[in-house]
This record gives sequence, structure tokens and C-alpha cells, in this order.
Amino acid sequence: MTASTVAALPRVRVMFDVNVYLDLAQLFQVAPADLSASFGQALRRFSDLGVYPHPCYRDDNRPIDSLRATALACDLGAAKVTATATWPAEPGWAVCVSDHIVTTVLYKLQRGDNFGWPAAEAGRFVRSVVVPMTQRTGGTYVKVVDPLHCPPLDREDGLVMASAIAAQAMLLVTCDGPFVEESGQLGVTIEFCNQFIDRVLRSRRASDARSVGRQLGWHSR
Amino acid sequence: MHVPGGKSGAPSLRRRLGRAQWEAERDPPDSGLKARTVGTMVRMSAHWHTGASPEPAGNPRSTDALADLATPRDRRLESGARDKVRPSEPMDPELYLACLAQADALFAEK
Repeated sequence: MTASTVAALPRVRVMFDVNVYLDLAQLFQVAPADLSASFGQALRRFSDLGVYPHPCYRDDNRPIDSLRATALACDLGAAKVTATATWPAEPGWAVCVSDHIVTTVLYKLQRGDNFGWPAAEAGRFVRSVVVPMTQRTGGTYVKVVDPLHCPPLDREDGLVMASAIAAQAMLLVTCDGPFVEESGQLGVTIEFCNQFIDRVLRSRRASDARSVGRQLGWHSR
Repeated sequence: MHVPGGKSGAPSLRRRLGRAQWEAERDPPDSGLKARTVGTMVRMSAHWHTGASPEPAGNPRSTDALADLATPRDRRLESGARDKVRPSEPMDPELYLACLAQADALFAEK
């Protein structure tokens, strides 16, 4: 696949739920001095694929999964994020957000459990992490008013679902168990972070295998 | 020459009917076994993120344990609670509006 072909292909739109961004904030809370630099370092460190499945599925690893999922989605070298039979070959991911998601992140960073940040710090997190993720990947910022699929979803999840549909996201990544349980009813694929990581790594491995096969003449195209 | 039921690649109708009958006998429609199995997988997946107990205590094949394997969603369906809106965490409207304005400003600046 040539560079021009890669550039011509649209990116797959993905949206991360509020709790994924809060996990990132929890990780960066330990070193808030330079969020931008620490995010870059974290991306480089965790996008080096590592071992998957994660050796320990424990609750305290959930933020790491969130970080790895966002790191993989933001990887500029994601031209190999091509696909399996279900997902067409795409050059990468476009991380989309909505006003509801960003607002809730800002709100929970100030009022949520384990945080209580000042408004300026919360704004700095969004400016250093969420905005670059969206701009770097060519994602969009959409505005939503009314929740969708509420019920069965609660209002917050309904607004996240409305955001995903407004942004035409193919995939919604969350850490919310009940939200994933309802995913079969809603028409948008909702996955946990570890499932998203698995999807990306699987497609990369498949892509690598195909390219090696092409080099060796096993596959005609 | 094509031989019906022969080695044409696809399984024969008789073989498919036999398999369907075998599956029906194995998982009768009223047993809910398949739904519970899927529900268990979802619950296990949720466990990885929530830290909840992945398996009920005791023999998982016993009747009581199988009843425990019903997912929360199944329980909501049984109780009819699915049609009710789950309550959201209450938020301070003034702070929410301030955060909304801040979010718009952050994404407006380049």
C-alpha cells in the first residue's frame, strides 16, 4: 500500500467514554508537572505493544488498559491498523469527542471522587491530552443535546451514545460494564479497552503477516 | 460430477439437519443455557474491569449456581426494570454549564 493510498483512505472514527479519560487523568495525577510531555512519553512507552493479554486482569490495571487503548488509537504509525474480514483496511483511527464528554471530564476532575482538581488544572489536562488526541488524529468535536436509547441507558450514557452517533463513530470504547452489556441493542459497537487493544493488535499482526506473505510471494495482493 | 451429500465442501442437508437436532436436544429452547453462557462471558469480561467476583461459590454446574450465573441484564429483564431510566449521578448545574463553556473554549482555540 503506497503512501498516497494510505492518505486517501478515511480513518475509522472511534470515541472514548468519559471514564477512559478519567483513567488517563488518574495516571497523570502522579506527575502533573508537564502533562503534555508525560502523555507523549506514555504514548511512546505503551504503544510499543508489549505483552497482550495483559498479565494481570485486576482493577488497578484498568487505567493502564485505558492508556494503552488511547495510545494505540493515537499512534501516528498506525498505517498498519488494517483489518480483518469484518473491518475494512483503514490507515488509522480518528478520535472523536463531544461537548458532553469533555464537559463531564472537566466536571468530574473538579468534583469527582479521587480528584478535586482546580478548574485550571482540569482545563490544562483537557488542553494537553484530549485536544491533541483529537487534533492529531483528525477527529471531530461534536455537540449533542438529547440522549439516545434512554432507557435502557441512563442519561449520561445516552448522551455518550448520542455523541457516538453524531460523530459517526464506528466504535465506542468504555470501561462501563452495564454500557457494554446493552451494546447489542444499540447499533454501535461498544467495547472495553482490552477488547479494543486486542482488536488493534490482532489487525496489526494480520497485516504484518500479509505483508510478509506478499514479500515472499505467498499472496498475490 | 456432483454427488449430493458427497465431498462438495458444504455439509449435506442430512448432516445439517442432524446437527440442528443434536443442538436442539443439547440446548432446549427453554433452558436458557446459551444465553447464560454468553452472559457469563460478558460478566467475566466485566470482572476484569470491575474486580467483581468472576464465579459464584460452589459447583458452577449445580442448579443454584446456574441461577446465579444470570447476568445483571437478565435480572433487569426479569424484573421489568429495563424500561425504567437508570438514575444518573446528580450534577451541579452551574458548574456543569461553566464546564460546558470551558470545553467549547478549549476546542475553539487552536
